[in-house]
Amino acid sequence: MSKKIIIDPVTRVEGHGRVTIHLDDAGKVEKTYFHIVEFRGFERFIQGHPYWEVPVLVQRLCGICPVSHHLAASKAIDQLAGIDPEALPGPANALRRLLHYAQIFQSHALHFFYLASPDLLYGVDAPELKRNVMAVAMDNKELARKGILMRKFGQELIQAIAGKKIHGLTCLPGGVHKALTLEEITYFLDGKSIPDVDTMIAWSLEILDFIKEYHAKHQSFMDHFASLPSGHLGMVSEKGDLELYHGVMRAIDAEGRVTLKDVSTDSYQDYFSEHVERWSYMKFPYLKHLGLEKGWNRVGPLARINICDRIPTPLAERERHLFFALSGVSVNNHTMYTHWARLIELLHCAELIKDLLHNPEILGTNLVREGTPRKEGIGILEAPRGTLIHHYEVDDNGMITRCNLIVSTTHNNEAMNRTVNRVAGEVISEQGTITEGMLNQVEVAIRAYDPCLSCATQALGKMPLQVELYGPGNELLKTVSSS
Amino acid sequence: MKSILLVGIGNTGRGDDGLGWAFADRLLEDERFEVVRRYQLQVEDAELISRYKQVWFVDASHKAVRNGFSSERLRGQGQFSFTTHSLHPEAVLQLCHQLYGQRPQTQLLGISGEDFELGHGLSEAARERLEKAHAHFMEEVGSD
Repeated sequence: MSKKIIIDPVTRVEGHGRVTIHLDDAGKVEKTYFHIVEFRGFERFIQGHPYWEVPVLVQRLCGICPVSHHLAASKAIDQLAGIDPEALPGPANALRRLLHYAQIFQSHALHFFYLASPDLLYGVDAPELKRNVMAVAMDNKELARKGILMRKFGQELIQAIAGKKIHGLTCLPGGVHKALTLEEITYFLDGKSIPDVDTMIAWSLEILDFIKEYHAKHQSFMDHFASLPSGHLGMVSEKGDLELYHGVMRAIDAEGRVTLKDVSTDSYQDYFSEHVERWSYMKFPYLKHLGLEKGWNRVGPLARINICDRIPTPLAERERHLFFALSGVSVNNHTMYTHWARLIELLHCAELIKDLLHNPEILGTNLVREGTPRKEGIGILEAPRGTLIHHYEVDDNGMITRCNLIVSTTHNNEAMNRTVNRVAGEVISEQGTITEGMLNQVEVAIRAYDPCLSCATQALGKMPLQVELYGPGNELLKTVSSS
Repeated sequence: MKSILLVGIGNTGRGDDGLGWAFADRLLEDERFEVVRRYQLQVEDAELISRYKQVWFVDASHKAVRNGFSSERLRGQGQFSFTTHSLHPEAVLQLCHQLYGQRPQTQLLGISGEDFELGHGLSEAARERLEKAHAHFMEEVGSD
């Protein structure tokens, strides 16, 4: 008799999702779904609001990556105010970048130390009570203390720029509200109150040593678990360097062939389309010219390290070389390497933060520029989880008439669904007994993408994720839920 | 360095869930207390509370209790679940002890709410309970 398994909620991810696994009469995985089951609809209710309210409103999409939404929306709103991203005053551009790198730094630290580390330290089949940051903290005190202070460093830098750690305010159309003071900058450089930026770089290198040691011991697992060929999408500078704030869009296929060649962010609509499935509120973006079946891409750290030609900070660039040398591939399609790529970006952001804190432009007071209002603005950047697109149109009174958001996790929708299918097929198919440990492996695969499901669907309310197992008669056989 | 930390927990956009922040707001000007507000607690709050002798967590409660509020001494012991959206004060205290070797005297003040729907402002009943809880708090810290 066929069966259906439900994992609900999927844990240690941001947002509420559910996995459904259908088994046939022989116990073989027949089909799987990664459902995003709640809906918030920011695209709709933002309409009718004046455009200058948008950067504040849309950061309520999320409590984890509000800065990314604030900045992407602000880039779009700049254009509605007549200012292109390249025309922003130097100090304003530097402050926005500093804010962006602080956000990525704290988000990557959060994901690695709080969400992913239990999977790596204890293994995918560890007892449930071990699989959380509390256990990591008990068993690895030094690691936990560093994780806490790295996240704190990023969050305090956000607070210094935006006024608050969550849902602060930095940008206005054409610039930023305030400059940093020398005293505020010194706080992050002198190491008196919190560990300084050089310590953040040193600790980032230490945690990269950890992942390299892990790789040396577990390469076979990293090469095979949840691995699947995919396209890779992200942003690069015009020189082809890794670029997180403003650049051109590039995509490659699983073998490294270019499928989107450094196109302007303004033209994204010419290249992307979105598909909808009845079983999920999260859309499925794809490259139009390749079609739905071949045009989907992963985004985020693994995609970014795959598509760029180099990383423009020395230590992270050295780590990028090691990443490809040690993994033995030129394009990495192995999902678990996303953790490693994320840590290289952690280091890259620490290096960028140091550069900016020492850059005199950060103290400049030329913070805003005015232009001639326009009717349309498109803001795209690389958020911690991948390419984030905000697109707005306004009427003659500056009221929003159309909003389109393609959130990072949305790009990863197809990749995550295929990953779930692959892992379920490998660990659950034709097993007599389905254990909680097997179902956890499905969650481990999803967690590697660091999905932010509340962002992707604007899901309101409770956050966790679940797995469901169904029989061939569509009867629910098993549900695994945790919060 | 102030010795008493007050952590107001909640969301002012969800009616009486803003009780923790409303409580914190009342103490912002009082120089005896360090006051912070949180939507939810995080692991790094273990490092924060490790620097204080006494910590009060104040949160709205769905439970109806006789006086409209409850005050519970926390020990930081036991098993706790974790998500980035839900970390109990007990777990923060336990982490504080494990990571920093500190166990500040910690109290959880829960104030019963009535209305947790979308919207700003406290219900009449919540405001009354806030007054009672505040009076209790001042009595307790004043007696130390």
